[in-house]
Amino acid sequence: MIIFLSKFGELLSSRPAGREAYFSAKAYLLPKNLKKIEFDFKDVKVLTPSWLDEFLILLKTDFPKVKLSFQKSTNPTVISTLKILQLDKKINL
Amino acid sequence: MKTLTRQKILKHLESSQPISPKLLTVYLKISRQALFRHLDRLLKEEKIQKEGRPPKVQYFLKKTVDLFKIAWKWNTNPTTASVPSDWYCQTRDVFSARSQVLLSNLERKEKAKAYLLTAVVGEIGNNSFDHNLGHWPDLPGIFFAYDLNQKIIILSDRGVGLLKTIQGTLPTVTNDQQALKTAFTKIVSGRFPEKRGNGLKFVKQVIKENNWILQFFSGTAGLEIRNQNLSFKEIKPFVYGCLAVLKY
Repeated sequence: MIIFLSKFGELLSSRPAGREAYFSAKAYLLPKNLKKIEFDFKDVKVLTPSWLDEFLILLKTDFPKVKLSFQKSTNPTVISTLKILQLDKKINL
Repeated sequence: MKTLTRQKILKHLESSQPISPKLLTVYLKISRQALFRHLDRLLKEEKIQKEGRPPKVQYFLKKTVDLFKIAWKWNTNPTTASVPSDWYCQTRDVFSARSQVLLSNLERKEKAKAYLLTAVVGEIGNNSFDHNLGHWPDLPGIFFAYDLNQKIIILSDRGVGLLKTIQGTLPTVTNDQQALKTAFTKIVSGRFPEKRGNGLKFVKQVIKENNWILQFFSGTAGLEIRNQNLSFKEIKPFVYGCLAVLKY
């Protein structure tokens, strides 16, 4: 499934906000047999490592076998965040 | 020509402030409508400020405040002092709301840089709340102020500081210098057993890639990232918590 991060806001900063976003996604968006998830960053202005890391840690705890992928973005905060979290190899080109 | 008129207004204010619009029209020999168009532009650019209400309005050059001096004094003082409420975020919610305002202001002035600057500010400011929530030694919250004309952003807290935070995970770290170096160069977090610790590495990466300047102080340790190099030094007086100065 594709998850549109802009639905959580255009400024995605802080761990508590990432946690809150994950629990909302888990309750209303994610299917129980989630196997693959693709992140779409369109319309996100600011993404920080703490927000994304928190979201992904919780996702990986609930769905250890889920496959992650990330849509390409030109936003510099998305590029830097994926780089620092070493997720840049999972970007769909 | 328009630019010249605005320059004339600024120059005249240097020697004759405060001044009323009436006197400015006499000096510049332009219509009131033209004058107010220029004054509005200068107000928007935050180069001047006005006081009073019609019919008694006066214009001044915008006062520049030494934010670093104020933050330094606030942070190195053994006892807590109050700061203007516009610069104080007692809770993370207030900080988040003001970060959103910063983003809007930066977007107007700095275009693409705005997003990375806001991300850096978010990581530093949220760190203060992450590591001090529930055990602030005196004053809870952070000092968060900026001057977009001087291109400076300051974040400061009177929390436990980097040494105590890092020691929670790495008891072998024994002084402020080691703690500061560890925080910026190793992926380690004070919030064991959580796997964290990318925030300040992200900050360092962005500062270096964009050739900005970051000064970061905690305890007796100081760090400066400038021209893509990191330099550490011992500082006096003691900085309670952390103090970060971002120049872009």
